[in-house]
Amino acid sequence: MRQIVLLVLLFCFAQAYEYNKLLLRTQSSLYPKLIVMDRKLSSHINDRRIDLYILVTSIDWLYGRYIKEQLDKLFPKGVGGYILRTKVVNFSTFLADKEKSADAIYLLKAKEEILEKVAKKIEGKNIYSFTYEKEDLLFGFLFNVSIEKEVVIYINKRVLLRNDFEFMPELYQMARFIEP
Amino acid sequence: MVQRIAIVATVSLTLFANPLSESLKKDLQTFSHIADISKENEFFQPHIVSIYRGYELEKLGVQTLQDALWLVPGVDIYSNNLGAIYPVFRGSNPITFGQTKLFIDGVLVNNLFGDHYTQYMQMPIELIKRIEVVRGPGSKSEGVNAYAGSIYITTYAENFGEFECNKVFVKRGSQLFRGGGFYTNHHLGELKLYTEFYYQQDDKSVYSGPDMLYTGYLGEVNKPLAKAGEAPLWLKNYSFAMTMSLGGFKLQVRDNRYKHGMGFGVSYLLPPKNDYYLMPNRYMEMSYQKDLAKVWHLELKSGVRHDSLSMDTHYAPAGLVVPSPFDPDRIVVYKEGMYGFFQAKQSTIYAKAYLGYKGWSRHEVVFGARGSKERTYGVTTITTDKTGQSGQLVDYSESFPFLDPKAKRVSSIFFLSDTFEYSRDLTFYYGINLERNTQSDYIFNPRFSMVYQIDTANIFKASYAKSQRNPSWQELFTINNITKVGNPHLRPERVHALEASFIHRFGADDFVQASIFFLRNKNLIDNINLEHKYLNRKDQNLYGFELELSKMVDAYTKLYANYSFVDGRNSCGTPLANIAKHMAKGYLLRQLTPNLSVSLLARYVGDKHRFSFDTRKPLRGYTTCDLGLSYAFDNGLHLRFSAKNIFDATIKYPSPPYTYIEDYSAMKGRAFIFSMVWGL
Repeated sequence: MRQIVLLVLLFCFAQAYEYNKLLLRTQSSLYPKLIVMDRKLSSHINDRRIDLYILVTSIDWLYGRYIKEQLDKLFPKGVGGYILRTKVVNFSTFLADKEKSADAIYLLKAKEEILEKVAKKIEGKNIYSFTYEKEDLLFGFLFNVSIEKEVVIYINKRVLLRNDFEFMPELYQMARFIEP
Repeated sequence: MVQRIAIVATVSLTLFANPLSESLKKDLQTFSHIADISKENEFFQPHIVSIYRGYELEKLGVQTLQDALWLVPGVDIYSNNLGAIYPVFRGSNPITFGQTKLFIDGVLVNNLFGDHYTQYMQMPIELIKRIEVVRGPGSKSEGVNAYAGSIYITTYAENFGEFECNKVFVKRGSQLFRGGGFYTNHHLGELKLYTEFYYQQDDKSVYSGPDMLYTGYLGEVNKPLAKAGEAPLWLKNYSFAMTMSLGGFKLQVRDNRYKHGMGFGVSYLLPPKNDYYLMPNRYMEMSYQKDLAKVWHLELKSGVRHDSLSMDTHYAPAGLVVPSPFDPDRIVVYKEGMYGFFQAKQSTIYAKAYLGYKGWSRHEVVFGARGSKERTYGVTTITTDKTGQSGQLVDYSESFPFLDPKAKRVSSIFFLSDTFEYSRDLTFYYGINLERNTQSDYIFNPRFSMVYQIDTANIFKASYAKSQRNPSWQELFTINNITKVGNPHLRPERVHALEASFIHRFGADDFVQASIFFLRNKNLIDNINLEHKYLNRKDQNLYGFELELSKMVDAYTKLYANYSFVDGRNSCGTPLANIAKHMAKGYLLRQLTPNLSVSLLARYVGDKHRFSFDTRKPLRGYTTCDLGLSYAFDNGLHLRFSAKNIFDATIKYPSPPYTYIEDYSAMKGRAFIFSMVWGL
């Protein structure tokens, strides 16, 4: 009987995600630098200010805030001559917003349908997109940094070609391409 | 398109050296190095390893290192007659210590007397950043022979900016448990200073008995003296640690004072409540490391460790009748029982030199040596007059000590290894340890392993390793004791291990790992014989498998679970005793709001069969379940509540044959702990 109760409890309680803080730290350090490696950045951003939104579900709000604190601490003076403004935004708020308010987005975990909607919303709009999870690139996002045997930068080739980006050639040497 | 990009990139790179790309390249190298140190790339390590992170364990209501080790696949927790807790890996000789090694921030902390680390099993989880548990002897600890497994604790002295620099915590719980501690990190230019402190105490006891006298081991005349009652398992423990680093220099100091109730009695006779053993463990290690000419890496280490065991106990009841230890034909009646104060002080001095070379393409060669001198420098034995002529205390430290006062061992280990990256996906690791010590001649222990990354999601590892466990002081040098008889002629236990593991990664943190192992143990040591003398008695084969899963069930749902199976036979053809063949463990978390989480943690440990000559029924398995609640305030304060063993399961550790008929109880029903943790 106890085992049955235990199993029921196990499935009832299944709801949470524990992010890897070192991976978050690594991604936070690298993602803003990847943005400024685009030679056409100035044509996408007119006000010399990069608005980077950290997209979270409400349950991950504290992780969003943790990433924002990390980014603000790491780039207090901006990056590559650009001011970096970070904001934690709920996925639903972002999807409801009709305007293009973000220059870049950093996506934490979310359900597949939400990720598909976000990918569709930013498609072809020259928005730099970064994911926590490498597999989420396949929904239509541009960059992921992953810890494998060593730290690896992944680029979604399809997203790269569908936007007007022109990254510095050195980046292509360092990164690996994912072709959905 | 990709080809075009690559051509443009190559041409451009020859013309420009962009500071942005240089910065990016440097970051990639730095974080790859950090990932290597902090074992974030655990799946690519050349051994079978499970890694647990302190911040996640805290949320689960895990309180101590012991709680955390209970989660590891293939690891079971045992207790000896003093109530000293130790982990047993894959059923490897569960009736002796010394099977595993514990390293704290790279420092080996096993004490010399029992070659165990009981005094660290209650280390609060709030001070542990990461626990790496390597199963099997395949660990890459050059200069130390890992045997059944090794545990690497990393404290928050390692800080790459992903955690708070300071933390304070206080706790209250059942059986008058109270504790608290802190750690701080300070930087002054290049000088880094980490300090850590904790104190904890409780009034734990468990009902136990009747004790060994009931078995008639000391004669029918003593049988009525057998007692049952509360076995004292209370604890008073504090620890202070400091790590100071400047450039390549590092100084690590730790002082752990561990005082514990006498548990089930030094002679398996139930002791009074206030009897205790004291097991301080202090060490200081200095190290220096430097990269030379880009291809050489030099590391020098030296340290000293002092540990001792003191016991203050009434170890036999009033009226005990036994033969005189000086004249077996004469019977002595101890009218007021027997009291004893026993103390053995040990010291270990060691030094290690290590040189790494990366000058050959795709190779990383490491070689070096470790030397140590272990010795006893003080033995005190004060007991009730053993002649029975008076009830006075007599100092037998010179005439009848409980441990050889001249116990000593000098060891040297030479090691050589190479990591050969055959291709980006295939890496070989091979090496040898060559050890010699006072008790044994040169022993050659080779290791070989390979890690093959089939694709970005799948990894295969295989290894062969040979290793040894040197007998502990207790096994070698205990004298003048009727329940434990040391044997200075013991040979080291040996193991040949074959292991293979397949890992499938679902995502950044999700994986399934399946491992199989075969262990051939030789010269196993135990004292289960009529004389209670430690002997190299038998060989045995162990085999089994472990499954480990960490998976997001949906976008927010994480499940961690593992199952392990072990079986085997010893050289007499009899099945293995005191081992749970089946174990399953797992945990789940639910984040009710961004601030509030609930956790559920469960463990199943299967039945344990007895030795063939032990007529008791098998020890029944158990399932325990813990619940945890955690609330995080926006200012960094965390309030946590943990309920242990919510179904009030009976958890017992096996007692040796012919001692306590009933096994050792682990805890008294449910337990509750409330903690307040503030990270800054």
